[in-house]
Amino acid sequence: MVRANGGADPASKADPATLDALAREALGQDPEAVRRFVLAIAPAIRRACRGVMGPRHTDLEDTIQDCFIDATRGLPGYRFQGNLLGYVTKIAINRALASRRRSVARVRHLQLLEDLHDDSPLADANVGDIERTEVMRDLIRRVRPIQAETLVMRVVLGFSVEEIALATEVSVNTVKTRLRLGKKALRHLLTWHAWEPERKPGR
Amino acid sequence: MRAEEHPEALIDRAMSGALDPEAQATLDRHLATCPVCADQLALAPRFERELAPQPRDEALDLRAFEAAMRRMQQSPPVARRRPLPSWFRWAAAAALLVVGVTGAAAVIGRRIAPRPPIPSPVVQLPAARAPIRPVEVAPAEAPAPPEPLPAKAAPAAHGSAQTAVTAAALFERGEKLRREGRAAAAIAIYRRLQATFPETPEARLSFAFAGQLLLEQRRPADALAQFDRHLKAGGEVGEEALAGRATALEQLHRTADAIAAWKSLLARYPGSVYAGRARARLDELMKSQ
Repeated sequence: MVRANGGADPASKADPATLDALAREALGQDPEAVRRFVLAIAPAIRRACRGVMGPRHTDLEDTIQDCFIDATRGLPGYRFQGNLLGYVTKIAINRALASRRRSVARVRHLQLLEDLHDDSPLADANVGDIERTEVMRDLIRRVRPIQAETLVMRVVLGFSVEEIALATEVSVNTVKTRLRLGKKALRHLLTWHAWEPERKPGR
Repeated sequence: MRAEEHPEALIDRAMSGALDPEAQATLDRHLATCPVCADQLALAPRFERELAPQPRDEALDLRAFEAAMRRMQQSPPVARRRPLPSWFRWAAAAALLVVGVTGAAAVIGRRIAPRPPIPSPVVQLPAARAPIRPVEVAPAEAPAPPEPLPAKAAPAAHGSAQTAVTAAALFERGEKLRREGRAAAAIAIYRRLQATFPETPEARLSFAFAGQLLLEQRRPADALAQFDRHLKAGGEVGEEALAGRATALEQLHRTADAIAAWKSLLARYPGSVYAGRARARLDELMKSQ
């Protein structure tokens, strides 16, 4: 991952060869092998789900469960040609985006209030930043799905363009196009959002 | 660098603190005009703090894993269908080809055949106003339509002076006027954008913006038309346009249509930020009926 300021990202430090070996073992459906595989990919899945849904989302744990199931059941279709962590990250992003689309309004304000009054490390963060990250998450889920997936990898998870290309198995130019179109759509949505609160305070 | 290009490599380098002054100046110029990249850079530390490992993560993973295993055992995966034999696919392709060729021949035949004389128009009495049907909008979970092509300038209608005008430039002008509070001028620019570049994303979005401005000017009928066009074009701010549409219908005192519009918003976007407002308005309108 390209971010230098974010501390450790255990998912990115996992050895791809080891992960591939774990995945091949898990294909045999041995429960212990499946367990080792799922726990090895868990940090990447957790990170993607947290990034898309926010750390306090009430459906976060359920979504992580869904992702574990999707990743395990999707293994027979994986070709072992690309980056396994990218593959599971992509699964997790799409699952989390779907969850967030279903429940964004139900939890958004509650989550914001909890963040502001909680004694966790998030509580000392700037209130404006919390709201802006929430707005960004909310707007990204409204962009077309393929662009949303790319934007999450880039803006939220901090992937480089090359890392996104590897994870999504498309060319760097395709990633750049998706980013350009996604950012354009996001810009329109941001413009609208900036206008809305001015007109309707306390919406 | 073109305005719509985003300096991803510079952003990466800025995040690692490895930008020389010249590159920093280039990036700063872009950030001044691009709120998305500016937010990307500004919010990166915040996102990273949220994503950093937490002490309870391992327990959460184990709990989620156990629950996932239980669920997998309770609902085994649906058996995958066997792939169709290759002869079947060839037969299906041939059948599609025959249908396509026959259809094309029929269309061409109709065009070549002499047309019957056009009957004289029948004068119709003005009918009662038809009920407004909810505009069809693709559901949120529907597969993504193909990615739009970048906006292309339409052929200039009035000589070379107009050749430099682009959809993005008109949209920006409209935006500037709107921010300055010059609503009428902004609406005029949006209308020009819609007429000159009707197929662009900027034109689609401008329907919603113009609709909102027209609502504020207490011109609900015009606003309604703009919101409907945004929804019909499958624009990006469907939730807002549906809310605007319902508000316009209320201002027009078309209570039944407004109720249908708010219900339509709730049905299509149950998780919308406008859901609370829709329910409140529905309660109010139902009482007033």
